[in-house]
Parts: sequence; structure tokens; C-alpha cells
Amino acid sequence: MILSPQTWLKWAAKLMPPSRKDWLAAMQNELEQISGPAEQNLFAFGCFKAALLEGARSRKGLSWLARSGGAAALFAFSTVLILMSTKNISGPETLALSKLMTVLAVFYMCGAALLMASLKALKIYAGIGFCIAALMMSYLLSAAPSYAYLPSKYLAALSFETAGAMATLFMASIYLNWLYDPAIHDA
Amino acid sequence: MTRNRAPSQSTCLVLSELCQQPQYGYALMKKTGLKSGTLYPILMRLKDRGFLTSNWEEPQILGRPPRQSYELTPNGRAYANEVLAPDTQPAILRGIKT
Repeated sequence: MILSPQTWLKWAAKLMPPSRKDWLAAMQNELEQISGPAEQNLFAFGCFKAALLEGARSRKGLSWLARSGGAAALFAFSTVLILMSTKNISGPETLALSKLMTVLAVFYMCGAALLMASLKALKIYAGIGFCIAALMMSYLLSAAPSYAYLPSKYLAALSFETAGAMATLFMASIYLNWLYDPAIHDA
Repeated sequence: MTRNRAPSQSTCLVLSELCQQPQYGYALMKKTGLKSGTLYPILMRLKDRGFLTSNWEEPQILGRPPRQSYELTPNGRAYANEVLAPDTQPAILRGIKT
């Protein structure tokens, strides 16, 4: 605990939800009553832990945790795609597939960034992504075009997977918005 | 949504002290032996459930900021009596006066 008591309380102020600001003021004033730097430090550190707990339990904190988990999963999936795309490139067919997987990986990473930035932007991204993937899949399955190095069934499978991922993201953004929107739950 | 699980030993300690008289936060810490990181979440939960009120009091020493004291509400006293009853409290609390 090498930070000063005032620094611990400053961090507590950043973490404490707005509904608990009165408690923060009480903690800050109570610190003034304590003599001894060690005691003050222990008290202030405990207040920081309490603020961290309250922040995590608040709707905003829980939403942040859920979105961080989702973004981490998307980012991990994108990394796996990139690693797979760089392996076993033995000819023009696998090269074309690896380029496509890299594009998909970058697309998913954008999703991860949007998940942290804005649920509204994520909804738009997922909606557009789903429409494009669904259209591509239906075209590939119905017309079955032949491409130089990429069998249409591989493309259709990737489109199906992308459409599924985008639909999941879209539903997740709606659910997270409903679950953690104070305007809906705090009457 | 409220949960009706049994209070923790720390909560029982806080309730037993508050049953005696209103207390300041630091004084409660000293009497219960709980750290501020444990005590304040307990106080917050008790206040959320309507068992506790807090009052800002003018400082006794000039130049110091006002302090917040905590007191059980009538509902809080009833709850404390229920959980601290001899046949319901944990063995470790049986020696504490209410």
C-alpha cells in the first residue's frame, strides 16, 4: 500500500457509482478523524476496496465486465483465425482461404472494439454484418458459382458461421442494453 | 429483488453494536474489529434494506468536517433482535450483549 490515503480515496471516487456518492463523502470525512498514517492508509485502502466492489456490482460495472468478456472472446477467436490462416499455405487455394480468414479476423476484431465502445454501434455493425453474410450465403448456395481457388461450399460455410456470429452479437447487444440500462430498471 | 439468506457473522457484529447506540464508521470499525473494506459494504446493504439510517453530525472539534453516524431504524432493530436471538445467532456471538 504505497499510495497515500488521499490517492486511495481519489481512486475510490472514480469507482464508486453515483448512487453511493454520499457514502464516499462519509468515508472522506471519517478519514480526517483518524490519526496515524498507517491507520489512515488501512482505512483508505479499505474504502477503495469497498468502492471497487460497489462499482463492479453497479449496472455500469456489470455491463463493462460482460462486454469485456465478450470482447476478449471475440479477440481470442480472431487470433485463432489469424494463426490458422498462416499455417499450411501450400498453394493458391490455401493462400486464398488464408486471406479470407484474415479479413474475417479483422472484421471480428472490429466487433470486439465496438463491444467496448458502444452497444448502439455494435447493433448497427452486427445488423449489417448479418445481412451481408446472409445474402452471401443464400447467393452461394443458390447460384453455386465457381471461383478460381475457393470452392463455393467453403465460402458458404464461412458465410453461415459469420451470419451466426453476427446474429449472436446483435442479440447480445439488445440483451445487454435491456439488462443494464438504468432508464429501464431504475424507476 | 431481495435475498433472504442468513446474515454473515460480520453483519451480526455490526448489528449487535448498533443495537446499543448510534455509531460513527471508525468507531464501529474499532469495536467490531472489521476493516473499512468489509464494514462499509455491510452498512450500505443494511441501509438499502431500510434497516439503517445515517445522519450528518456537526464536528465536536472545530475545524474538522462533519461526520456521518449510523443508527438502526425500528425495522432494523426488529431484524437485529431476530438474527441475534440466542437460538439463531452463531456460537461466537452468544457473549455479546444486545
